[in-house]
Amino acid sequence: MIIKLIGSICLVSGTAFIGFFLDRLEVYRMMDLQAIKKALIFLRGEIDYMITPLPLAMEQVSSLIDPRIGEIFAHTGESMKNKIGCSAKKLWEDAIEFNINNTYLTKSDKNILLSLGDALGYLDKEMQKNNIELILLYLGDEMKKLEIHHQKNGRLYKSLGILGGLLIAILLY
Amino acid sequence: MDITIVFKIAAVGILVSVLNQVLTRSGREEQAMLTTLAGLIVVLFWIIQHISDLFKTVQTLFQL
Repeated sequence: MIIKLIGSICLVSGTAFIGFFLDRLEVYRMMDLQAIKKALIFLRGEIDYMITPLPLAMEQVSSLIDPRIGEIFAHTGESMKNKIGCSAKKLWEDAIEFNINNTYLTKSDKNILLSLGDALGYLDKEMQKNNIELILLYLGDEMKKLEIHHQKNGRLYKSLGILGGLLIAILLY
Repeated sequence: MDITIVFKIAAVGILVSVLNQVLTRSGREEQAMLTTLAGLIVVLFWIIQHISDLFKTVQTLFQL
């Protein structure tokens, strides 16, 4: 009897944890997207006002934002400084591939980030600025969508976690 | 008959109705209906033996 009770408690707490985790996952993704947005605004500032070279700008931006996302920028800056003979796009893609697993970003976020690489270091200052503006626009849309999704489903995940656990516990009791 | 089955059915009923409400409020009517259906099937599985026993009892009682 007591073993059954302990098992049920473990089951309910497990499913409740999954529910809360799914809810938090979206919050963490939102935080990562905000960090990218912040980084791109800093990068735009560095390019526009300071006219900093891209490798240095990347490294400076990386020190100002959340280390999880900052790592992508730091990795790109470092690779650019090493001058290994690859294009900026390739270095940016490599940095994303290498660090994306440490973040909470999804495949669509990754594609948005990859599209930044298309015009990275291409033509003049204006081109860089416009490219960053475009990515900021995409990010804004994605964040808006995520906000609506989270408002709609955040509480649902938590309730489903607890209630689903209780239901399974009763069915197996 | 074991009385615990009555309490189990009651608990499933309460939980399924709450789940139904939660899913309906978040605009997932299809899943809400599926949950209700799943609850109904599970409860039917539990009581099918008892219903069969009831029919047999009625048959023997009235010698049909």
